[in-house]
Order: sequence, then C-alpha cells, then structure tokens
Amino acid sequence: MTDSENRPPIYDALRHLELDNAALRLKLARHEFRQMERELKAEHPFKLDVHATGEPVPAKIVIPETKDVMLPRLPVPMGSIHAEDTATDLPVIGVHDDGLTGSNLAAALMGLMNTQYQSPFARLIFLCSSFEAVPFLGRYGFAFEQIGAAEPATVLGRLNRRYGATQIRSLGTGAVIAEFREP
Amino acid sequence: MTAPHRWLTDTSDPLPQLIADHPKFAGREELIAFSQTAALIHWPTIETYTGKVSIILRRVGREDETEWRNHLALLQQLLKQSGKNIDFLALNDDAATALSDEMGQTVTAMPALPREFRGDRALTLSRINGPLQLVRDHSDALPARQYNLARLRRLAVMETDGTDADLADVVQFANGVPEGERPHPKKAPVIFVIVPNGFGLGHVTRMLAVARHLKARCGARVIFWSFSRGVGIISQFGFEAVSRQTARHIGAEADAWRKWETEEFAAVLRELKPDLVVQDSAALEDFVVDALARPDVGAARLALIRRGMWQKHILGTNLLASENLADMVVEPGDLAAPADRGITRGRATKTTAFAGIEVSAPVTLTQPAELLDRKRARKALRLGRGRYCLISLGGDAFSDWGHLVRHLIDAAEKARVQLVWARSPLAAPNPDIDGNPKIMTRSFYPLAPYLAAFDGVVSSAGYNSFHELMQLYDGPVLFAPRQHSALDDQAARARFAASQGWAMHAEAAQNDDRSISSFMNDVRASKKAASRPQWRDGAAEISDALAGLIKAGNSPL
Amino acid sequence: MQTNVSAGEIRRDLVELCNQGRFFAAHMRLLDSGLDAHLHPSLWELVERRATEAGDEALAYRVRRELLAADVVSADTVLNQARYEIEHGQPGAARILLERAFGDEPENSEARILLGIALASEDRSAAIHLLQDAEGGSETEMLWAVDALRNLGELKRAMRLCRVAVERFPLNSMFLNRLGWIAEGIGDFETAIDAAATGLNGGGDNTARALNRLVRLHRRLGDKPKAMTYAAELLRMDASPVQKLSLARTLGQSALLQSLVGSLPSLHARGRISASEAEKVLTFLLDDGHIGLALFLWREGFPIGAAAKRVLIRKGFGGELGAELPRCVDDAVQIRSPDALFPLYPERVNASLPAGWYPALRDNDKILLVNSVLAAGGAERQFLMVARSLVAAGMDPDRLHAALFSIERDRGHGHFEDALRATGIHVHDLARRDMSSLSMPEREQDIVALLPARLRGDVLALYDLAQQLKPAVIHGWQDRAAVASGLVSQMLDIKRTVLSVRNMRPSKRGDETGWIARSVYKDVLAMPSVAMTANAVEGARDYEDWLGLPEGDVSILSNAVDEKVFFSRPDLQPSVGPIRVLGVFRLAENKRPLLWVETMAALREQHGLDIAPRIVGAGPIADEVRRHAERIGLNDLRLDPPIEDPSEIYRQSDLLVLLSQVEGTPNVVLEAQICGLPVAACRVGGVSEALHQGGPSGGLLLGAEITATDAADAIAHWLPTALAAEKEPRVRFILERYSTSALAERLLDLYGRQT
Repeated sequence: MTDSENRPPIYDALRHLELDNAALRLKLARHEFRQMERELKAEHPFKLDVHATGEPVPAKIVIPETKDVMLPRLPVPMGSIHAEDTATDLPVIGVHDDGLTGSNLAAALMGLMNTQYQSPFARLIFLCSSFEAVPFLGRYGFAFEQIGAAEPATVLGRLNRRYGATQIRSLGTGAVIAEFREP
Repeated sequence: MTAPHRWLTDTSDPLPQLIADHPKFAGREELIAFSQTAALIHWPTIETYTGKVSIILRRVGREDETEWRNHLALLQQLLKQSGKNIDFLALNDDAATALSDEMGQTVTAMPALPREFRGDRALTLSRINGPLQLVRDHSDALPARQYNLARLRRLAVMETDGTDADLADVVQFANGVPEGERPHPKKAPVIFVIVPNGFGLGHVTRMLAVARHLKARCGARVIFWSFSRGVGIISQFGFEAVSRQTARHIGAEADAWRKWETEEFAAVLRELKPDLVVQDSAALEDFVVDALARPDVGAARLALIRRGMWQKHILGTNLLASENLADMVVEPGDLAAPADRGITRGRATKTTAFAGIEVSAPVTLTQPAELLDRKRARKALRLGRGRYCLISLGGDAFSDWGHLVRHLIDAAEKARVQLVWARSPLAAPNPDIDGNPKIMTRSFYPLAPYLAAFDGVVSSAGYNSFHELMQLYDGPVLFAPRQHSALDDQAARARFAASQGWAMHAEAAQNDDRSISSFMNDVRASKKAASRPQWRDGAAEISDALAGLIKAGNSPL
Repeated sequence: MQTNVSAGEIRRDLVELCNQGRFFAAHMRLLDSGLDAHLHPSLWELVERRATEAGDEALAYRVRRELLAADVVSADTVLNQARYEIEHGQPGAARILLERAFGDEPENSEARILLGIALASEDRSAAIHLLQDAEGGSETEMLWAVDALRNLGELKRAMRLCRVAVERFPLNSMFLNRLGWIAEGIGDFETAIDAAATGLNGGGDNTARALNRLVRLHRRLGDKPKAMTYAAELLRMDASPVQKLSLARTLGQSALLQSLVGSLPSLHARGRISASEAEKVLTFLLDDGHIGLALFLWREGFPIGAAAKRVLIRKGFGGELGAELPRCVDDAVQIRSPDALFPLYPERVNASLPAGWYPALRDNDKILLVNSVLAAGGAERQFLMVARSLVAAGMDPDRLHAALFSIERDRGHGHFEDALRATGIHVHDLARRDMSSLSMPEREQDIVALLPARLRGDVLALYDLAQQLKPAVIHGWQDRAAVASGLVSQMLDIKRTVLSVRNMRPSKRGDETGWIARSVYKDVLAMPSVAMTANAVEGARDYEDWLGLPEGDVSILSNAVDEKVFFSRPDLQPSVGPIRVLGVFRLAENKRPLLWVETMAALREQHGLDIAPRIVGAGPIADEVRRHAERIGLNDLRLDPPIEDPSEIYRQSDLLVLLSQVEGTPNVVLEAQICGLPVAACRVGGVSEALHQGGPSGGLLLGAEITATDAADAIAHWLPTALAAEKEPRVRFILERYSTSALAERLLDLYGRQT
C-alpha cells in the first residue's frame, strides 16, 4: 500500500506508536484532511505525467450483477480523514462523478469532503467514470468503483448487493440519481 | 457456482467444464442434466420444464455400484410416474450400450469433442481417494477442483488409473477425437493481466512492457485487472483496465472479499472468454484460480510472471504452490540473479504439474530507441544548464535513508549539483521536499526515457529501476535499497551491482560522507560508468512465450 | 359495604390491567389491596386464569401458589398448577396437588391423566391404570396420555389409545404420526404403513415426511420396489431440503446426499431456503456426523447457531485459528464424526503409563456390563450367560451392573429381563434414566455435542450411569454398546474396557453405519487398557481385517451354555414315531427358513423319511414361511414362537438342523449338542468350531451354498448313524469348551483378576 506517499515521515513514525490514542488519531485525521485540501486546491490536481504515445483508453468494462450467488456484504471505509470508523448507522451512498475532470472534479470533491469531514453523513462509494481520481481516492482510503460511461442508476443493484448502498447521488449537485427499492 | 441456468449439475462433477467447451452444445436451448444423480436432485425442475430435456447418463463413478443401480432405478420410477419424455445421452458408444442395457431405454452417444492437444504429455486423474485429483509420479497428488478440464485438455492427454468407469469416460471425452479437429480461428487473442497492489509501480511497469509486445506482435486485446492505483497509467498506455480494490483497501474480511472477487472475475471471464490469464505476482490469487475452474468461463491458459530475488528469510514451499496451478511460470530475468538468496532460485530446473519454469532476459518498459537525448530530456523536464542528480527513492525513503538524504543535500551543495526528487505519479505532493529550496521535484513516468537529463542517479534497487539504470544509463549510480521490503531483496541487487563495478551501494549502517562526496564528485564530473550490461528485450521474450502458450503446445523460450 | 365496594373497584382494575396484558401489575394491585386469597379467591383466580390464557405461566404460577396456600383453589387452578409442575420437572409436587384435590382415582379426566403422568416414575402400574382410560379425554389430554404411555414403554396401550384418538381427531396429524412410530417400534408394520399412507394427504412437508416414513418401512420389510416408488414420489416434490436429505440417508445413498448438499448453496443464494430451514439442514448434518458438510455450508453462508459454532471452533473447525472451512463437497465429506474427533485425548496417545496403572480387580470393584437390548437373540442370551456365570463363580451380584439402552417389552427388547434380574445383579434401563443431574466437563461436552445423534444419546446416558457407579471395568456387548462403552471409558478414564463384538463386521450384516464403529474402535483400541473379543475365530479374523489389526489382537471369548438348564436326559426313551426335526432360528432371510422347509419336504418326498418338522422362532417373514410350507405340502410344519427356556424343546427333539447363511457361534448348536442332539448345519461363521465332528456322534457340516435336495441327501445319508450314536461325546465336547465356569474364568482374566 502506498499510503506512505501521502505523509511526511514524522507521521509514519507516529503511526508506529499506539494508535489507540484518540487524540493522535484526531491529529492524523486532521492532517489527512489538510493534505487532501492542498491536493484538491493545487493547480493541476490528479495530473499524471505519463510519457506515452497514443490515445488513453477509457474505462469500458462494467462488472455484471451477480444475482444467483449469496455473497456477504462488504464494508465501506470512512476514509483516512476520519479518526473513528465505528459509525455503523450511516447510510451507504454511491457518489457519481458526473463525468467531471480536472479542477472541476477537484472542486466538487472538495465540497463533498468538507461536509463529510465536518459532519459525516454517509459511507461513500465513489463511482468513477474515468481513472483520474483513483490514486487520490485510494490514498485517502475511500472505496470506489469504476463504471466508465455506464449510467450510474444501472449499477445500483450491484452496489446494494455488494455494499448495501441505498442511493446514488450526483457529486456535483448532491441530487439523488437513483434510490434502491427491494424487488 | 453459476452455470447456464439450463444446466442441472452436481457441483463436484467436472463434466460441465468440458461441455462448455463443446462446439455442438453452445447455445442449445434444451435443459440438460449432467448425470442421473443431478437429474434426481433437480427433478422438479425437469418435470416442470416444457422444452426438450436431455440427461447424460453416467457409468459407475465415485458411488458404489449398488447406489449407482439405485439411482438408475429411481430415475426409471420418476419417468414412469411423470410420463416425461427425455433424451438419454452417454459420453461414448460403449457407455451408451451399457447404459441402454441397464435402463432399457435408448441411449445415444454424444458427439465427441475435437481434439485440442497434439503432444505426448500425459496427466493422470484419479478418484481413488475420494476427491478428484491429478496424480503425479514423484510428488503429492493435486486437487483437481483447482483446474478446469477444458484447459487441461489443451495441455496434455488425460489418463485415469483404471478403477473408475465414469472417470474413464470423462477423460476419454476430454481427450476428444482427431477427426473433429477444428482449425484455430485467426482471431486476435484476448488476454487478462492481473496486477496486484504492490509497493510502487513495479508490477504495472513490467506488465505494460509485456502487454505492448503482445499488442504489437499478435494484435492482442490486453485487459488489466488492476489492484494498483496506477490504473490511469495503464489506460494512458492504451490498454483497457478494470480498477479493483483489495480487502485491505476497503477493510473487508478476506474470505468475504475473495468470494466477491471470484464471482465478479468469473462474470467478466464468462463474457469475454479470454485466451490467457496472466498474473504478475509472487503467487496466483485464489480468486483467479477459483474463477478459472468454473465450467462456463472458457478454457483460458494461465501464466504466472514471478520475479525472483526474494528475501532469504521467506521460507516454505506453500508460497511456491502456484507453480502447480499455472500452465507456465516465467521468471523475468534479473541481472543480479547470481546473488539471489531466495527460495525461487534454481526453480527453473524443477518440474511442476505440467508447467515448465522459464527465465527470460530482464524486462524494462523503456527500450533503447525510446530514450531521449540529454537536450530533449532536459527540455521535457524543464531543467536548465548545470549538473543534475536524480533522487528516486520512493515515499518511505526518509525512514530508511534520512541521513543519506541529508548527506546528499550537503554533498550536492558542495559539488554544485542540483538535486531532483522524483515523485511517483501516484504520490501526493510532499511539503517537506516541495518546500525545500535545495531540492527540485519532478513527477514523470516512466523514468527511463529521461535519464540522459541527469549526471547521476541515486535510486532504490527495485526491479524496474535497477534494470533501467543498469542497461539504459551510463552515468554514476548510487543504490540505496529499500530496507523494509516484504519480499524483494533489493539489498542483494545493490550489493551485486557494486561487486560488478556497475554502481555504488549505500549501506544503511554507513555513516561516512566520504563515499557520498566521492559519488557527488563523479556526478559533477559527469563520469561515465566503466561497464554495464547490454540491454536485452526480456519483455519480447515473455510476450513470445505467452503467445506460444495461447497457441497450445509447449512453451518455447 | 366498604369491602364490597373496594372489591368491586379492585375487580374493575384487575380486569383493566389484564385486558392490557399487565399481569404483573395486576398481581401487585392484588397484593396492595390487602384482599387476600382466602377471603377473595375469585379475584385471585381471575388474574390466574387470565395470565394462564395469555401464556404468562410464571406469573400464573405465583398467583396459584397463593391460592393453594390459602387452600381455596378451584379444580381448574389445581389442574393448571399440576400441569406446570409436571412441565417443570416436579412430578412429585403435581402428584400431591392432584391427590389432595381429586383423590387417587380422580373422576375428572384431565386430573386422571395428569396424575397418571405424575406417577409414572414412582408407581408404574398405578400410572398405567390411570392413563389407559384416557379415551374419552380432550385432544390435549389424549396426546399427553399417549406420550406418557410411550415413555412408560407401554407401547401397545399407547397404540390403542392412538387409534381412538385418530378416529376422534382425524385432523390432528400428531396422533397419526405417533401411531406410525409406535407401530413401527413394536414391529406392526402394517399399521405403521397405514398410518404413514394416511399422512400422505397432509400436504407440503407432512406429505414428504410421510413418504420418507413409507420408504423406510418398506426398506425394513425388504420391499425395494415399493420403497423406490415412494422415494420417487418424494423426489418429484418440491420438498424441503431436510426431507430430501432424510430420504438419501434412509436409502443409504451417500453420493445422493452429498450431491444434495452441493446443490444447497445456490438455492440458498436465490432465497429458496429460509434461515430456519437452513439451520435445520445444519442440525441434520451434524446429527448425522457430517461435520465437514456442515462446515462447507457454513462457509457458503448458511446460518449456523452460536452454540454449534462455538463447539466447532473449540474443536478446531473454522474460526481464526482452526482449520480452513472446506471449499467443496468432495473435501468436506472427508470430515466425519466421530472420526474427525480422534484422537479424543491426543495427550494420552503414546503416553507411557506408570507401572501398576492397571491395578488388579479388587473384591469390591464394580463391573458394568452394557448391551443394546435384551431381545430374544443369541447374543442377548450370551449376555445373560455372562451375568449368570459370574454369579455362579462366586461374584457378589451387588458388584455387577447391567445397563441396557432399551428393555421395552412391547418392542421385544425385554425378553431376558426377568431372567437377568433373577441373577440378582443391578439392571439399569438407560432409556428411562433421569439425567437431570448429569455433569460433564466442557471438553467432554464438546466431544458429545459433535457425535452423531444416536451415538450421542447412548453416550450421554451411559456416561451418566458410569460416572455415578465408577466401575473398574466396562464391558460393552455388540457394536452399539461396544462403541458407546469404548467412548465412555475414554471420557471417564475407566481402568479396563472389554468390547465383545459380533460375528462379522457391520457392513457384511448390511449395517451402513459401520464406519462409525470402525473409527471408534481404531481409536480406543490404541489404548492398552482396552481389549476386544469375538466368540469365534472367523469373527475375530474378520474384525482384525476390518480394523487393520494384527492377527491375534481380537481374542476369543467363547459362548457358554448353562449346563443347569441344558442337559441331556440319558433316561429319555428314543421316540418311536416320526423323527422330530427341530429348527431354532429367527424367521429372517439370512437364516434361510425357506430352505429349511424345502429340505424337510425333500427328506420326506425324496427319501421317504417320516419326520415331524418343528421350527421355534419369530421374525419378519414368518407368514411367508407358513405359506411356503403349505404350498409345498409340508402342512404339518409346527411353527412355535420363541420361549425363554427352550431346553425342553431340545429334549423333545431328535435332531437339530440349521441352514443359516450367516452365523457367529450359534447358541442353538451348542445347546442342542449339550442336550445330546445330533446337529446338521451349514459351514458358515463359527459353526464348524462349535460342532463336534468325527466319529459316529459327530455332527454334519453342509456346504454354505447348498440346495434343499443336496442337504436332504446328505442328512438322509448321515442320519441313521447319528441317531444311533452315543450322546456322551457331543455333550462332553460342549462341556469342555462352552461351560459357564470356563466363561467365568475367561471373563475374570479379561477383567484383570489378581493371579
């Protein structure tokens, strides 16, 4: 795991100490949030300097829903911007990036993360239409699913089975795109 | 296990894997029960089905003969009571005759499978101990549930130990008949590449190198199933990617995660029916093996790209068990192989279930032709005149090499060399470094094309960096191997390079700054290395081997 | 006036509170009101009645206690209280209440039945007397009475009552089910089949259950085609998984059972198996010893009960530290109980024991003899001989304890009970053992929890008894008792264990559960304190082969004949009429009674012999034997039921013929010879060892696979010499090898008598 790429070395040292210390955890979470803020407000957030010729290939393959096998629900992490990950009563919500990229995407994420940091309201799964935000989301310990150009509402069934997601919302507007109903 | 919904199977029956491979059964609309036992347990489905129903009758197998007869007697009762019209099939003419006598019904032999394997390698299957196993001469038997018979029949002729009539029928069916051989369609192969989430971009880099060759040489459609966050890089290199998260990423319990991964990977395999699945890793993931054993995911070949140079304290043979599961194991060659102290050393002489273990030339993503000259490299990196030294140590460098970096900063200042910190494209900006006026930061991938911009390089000794620097760069190199690597013996690589006079080696315990100053002076002087190994195209070799594997037959390396 | 107003107000309050279901509050209201039960019983009865109706038994009980203390109870209150006491394991308290209120011959039908149930453990005959009149009772009363009679072992009475109940309450399937079980238990297969067939109309799982029962019954009767017909009907149904698994088990089809289990995860995933049904499946598998298959389903997401999960994890299955749960049925099926539990005590394996660990048998040491039942069979007779010979050898009967898993007479399990009790030893009926004070350490509890259900029941009861008695020796007789004895001896570390096995391994007898015995024997025989015996060399060798033991590991414990009962009367005049040919055997296939009958007919028709054929025995094909004899003209065949003491029968006969296909050391061959009879028998099992051969007095050994004609030829040829020969050599042959004193000597050696 490349989380160590996030943090200055001193926090690695701190991490090796007793992490049961809640104050320390709060400090870490706060640091993570500040770090995240800096990244999202940078000039070229998500920029990947890759020396490659040819056209990038967008995400195409969508995982089909597995309906005839009973599978256990998987957890949805709160991300490293939260000190505690014990809140079990928060709803699980998918957040679709609306196809946003670059600083637009960053700005939208900042808005959401701000709210989530101050007063967590859900466990979030990020539905990515491209790979742009994957390193960022991964570094901060969030769950994400790549859906490419697929309509977000079409993946809600799978999200519900896998994570217990009850809704999909738009990152940009916060509006509900799809709501899960028991068949 | 999910099979087509019109198939009624017994979960431990290997026959469905073969039927899925049968050109004459694809897309058939009828309901098929794969054995009389499967018919018995799923009878209500049979009785209510309005379309055509077939039952493949089987000879005595793992049940005793009394029970086998009883199953047929029950089947006859069910037919009598329900009045259902059913077609009975058998795996071959002899079985059809025997079962016809037993049932008093017409039983038709199924059309044979076309033969896929033309060599003389043989595999023995047996059920003598209960579960189906692959029997080997000098080693323990392997559980056959990890294998797909549709795949095995492309690798070898299958035999049985002769005690099990049904198994003999299944094996005969699997081997197929030469008259039915079909010419291989000239379609571009579909290849799945699985890359784990390792430290850095090592696996991604190596497999991009191989994938480029596969695409160029045989037009392969290469799809990455990536746990690495470098999935965007994969996409920019022109390959499809599926971005996945590990159990650790989402805090899931390993077993629960594995069940999901198996199902979803199998679902994608089912749709795309790849020709090859290749994983670049220490060992094959359980979900890969389990998904490939499903009956309806095609007959993809399975290869493992397993780098050597494991830490010497990693012991035991469990980790090497993947050798028994893959059709081919390739070790990307390592220039430092003579210094390999790990348990994979010398494995190339071992035999496994049916795979050979081969070693290729070292693999680099960048080829000599892609190297930029000094001027263009500097322009691309926005570096002006003067002497530059690249520091490529990875994110946790300060915990390992804090003192080294301080020495480097001092020595560089004295030698009037500008330090350039290489930030991984996946890493966040590092304020300690970004804010340091004595260090420039650049982020670019891959590194190798730009090496000519630098008068010297300080680097970790990971596989990719090591081989790029030793084969594609002629300036002074100081290796500072990662100290806390779980598997990779970077220290051995660095020591070996030093012993060969190819580079300097910074030991962790070392405290003197003289060698650092000496190195920095070499950088200042733009000194060229005395000798370094010739570049070889390991990626092409691996790509050819994998392409050969797809075509069936032995792996030529 | 004041009191009445208060009482009225209280009554209104109580009614209101009871309407709201607030019985506790109602009780408190009563207590606070100061209106005691003595003066205002109706108020208390109101609360009691309402609480009982609502199912708040605990509160109703408390209120009733006050009424009882005030001695102002109504009949209903007494009955409710008595019922509660019975349900909570206090039959004595119930009895006192009922007798006080209704006398010892209640006219009230419910009181009568409840008193009968309360008396069951104290005064059996009084209990039976009260219970058997339940025919006019309510539906519930009749059900209680049926169950009470069953628990008393009065199966025939229970069945009679059941028949009446079925007529009176045809919609209550519980009576039909009970009728079926009871009938099957006493061997009345016709009634059992009728009951099951009636249950076919129950619908859903009731139909499936009825079909399962019909399959089982017809299999027991050897009617395979009928069994298959019903099995197919069940397979056609969308029956619950447990019913289909039950079918596979009944049919002895392990591959079918495994395939069914393999199909369950995807059904479960599609929501076609409810959580409660899934739990039932797991319980079924664990009860059947299929630990691995249960683990497999657990892995596939079947809900496993917390208690079962804890036990499994403690025993090393699953959990973070335990073995990985099996991923497929083929792997899972390898993990079976009790095999997977062995060694039970790994620390004892290879442990070297101190000298004197096995102390000699002391004069006051107890010996516990264990057998399955006391049915009219040769092995059971030998069990009786063990007791008799030990007592005859001078052992104090107070030291000897016999434990039986069942001695229900109505099921034919108590044939030798009286004779056994007559020896003066203690006889324990494990089926009716009160195990309320059983205490077992957690480790042993875990072992028992994972045993197959039937073995579990046996082990628990035997453990309880052995824990109480602390015997120095436990001697298990025949596989069922030997297996339980072996396990209990390990769990309680009993110093010496003797396991006396059958004449051939279970699978050869058609017993499909032999794998259980095998795994237990292999484990317990590793302990030096455990010895195994068989009664004939052939049986010993067969068990050694089956268990992979070196030759000689299974020693011989020969049968004994009670020479006081079986003896020759030299003064007896030879018969002047027809030759009295005797056959003593169970009327079952493997004893080949039809061949016997045909041989007699051949002796008469082909050899012109004047014979009077007589068979003493009973069994499932008795009717068929009778019909066959008539068909072939043997109309004078005498067919008598077994009697406890057949010695006179021998003395009334001239010759014994035994044509069984399967035998151990047949007691009848020993008994007949010691009574002076010549014997002709087929060479199977231990017959050859048991037959005096050579010389004119010698018996006749016939080929194992012989025809009636050939048998008749051989017998006719041998008979004149045999009838004319001296009896003495036969008698002496038996006395030298099979006397009770020889048996006692051998037993005391096995038990570690001091030499």
